[in-house]
Amino acid sequence: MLNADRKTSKIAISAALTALALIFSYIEFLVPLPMPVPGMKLGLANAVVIVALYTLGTASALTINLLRIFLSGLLFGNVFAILYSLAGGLLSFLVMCLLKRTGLFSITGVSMAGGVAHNTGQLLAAALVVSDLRLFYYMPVLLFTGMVTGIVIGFTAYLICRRIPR
Amino acid sequence: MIKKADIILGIFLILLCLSSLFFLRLSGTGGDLVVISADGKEYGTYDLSKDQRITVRARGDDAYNIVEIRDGAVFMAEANCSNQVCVHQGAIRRSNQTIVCLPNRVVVSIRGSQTDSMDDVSY
Repeated sequence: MLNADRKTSKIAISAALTALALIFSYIEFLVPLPMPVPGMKLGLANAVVIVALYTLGTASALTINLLRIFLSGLLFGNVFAILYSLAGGLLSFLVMCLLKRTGLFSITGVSMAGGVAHNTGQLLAAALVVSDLRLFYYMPVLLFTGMVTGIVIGFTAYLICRRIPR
Repeated sequence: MIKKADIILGIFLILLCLSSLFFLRLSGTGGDLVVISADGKEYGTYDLSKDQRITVRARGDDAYNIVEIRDGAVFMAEANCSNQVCVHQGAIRRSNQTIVCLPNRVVVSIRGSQTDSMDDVSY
């Protein structure tokens, strides 16, 4: 493939993945699963971000992630929703990039750490919004649920990545 | 597809989870004060043994939460927030336990009175 073709196809795939991530965000907004912590989500959109991270690279994955956060925040949420997802999404992305770069972790492990980082980021943002550190009462349960959802999403992303031709 | 580092990280996270669980929750004793804060400022402190309903006005009167204390437990009886997460959480009764209404920025938690941390150890 020519270089220009490759670039074009990457842009097209990124756009399609952004749309897919947005649809996942919408599904979770429409049908919230019963979770032990109120407001908690599986993070289906994160599966898209991880697949992008492993197939398209860091820059594309970050772009998809940011677009997804802003678009879903504007469409289904409000300013605070954007703030919380941004705090969770960026911290999670940073952690996943760093762990991926070490080369020691599988997709599932990277995603598990990402899930935990996501919940930690959101908790930090929430603690800032209410200016109250007592929110860290939720820390244990958020750590645990972040791990479980991260593993589920990571395994899904692993199955997808295996089937994608590169 | 699962590497050794994944498992080590997983074990580390579980230990972190259990130890924070221990420090934040299981260490909680009876507790007898209800501390309510709104918009990051302390709103008031109430006696857990006295049944009462407290109406909390937050965000410059736009928001209200009704906190009810009954039979030594606290719960959010009513709130005009968008998600009603705080109302569905149910009652709390031990120290360090917390109910948060994020949209209205109201935090309710239980504290022991100043003396009990020492007395608990020495009896």
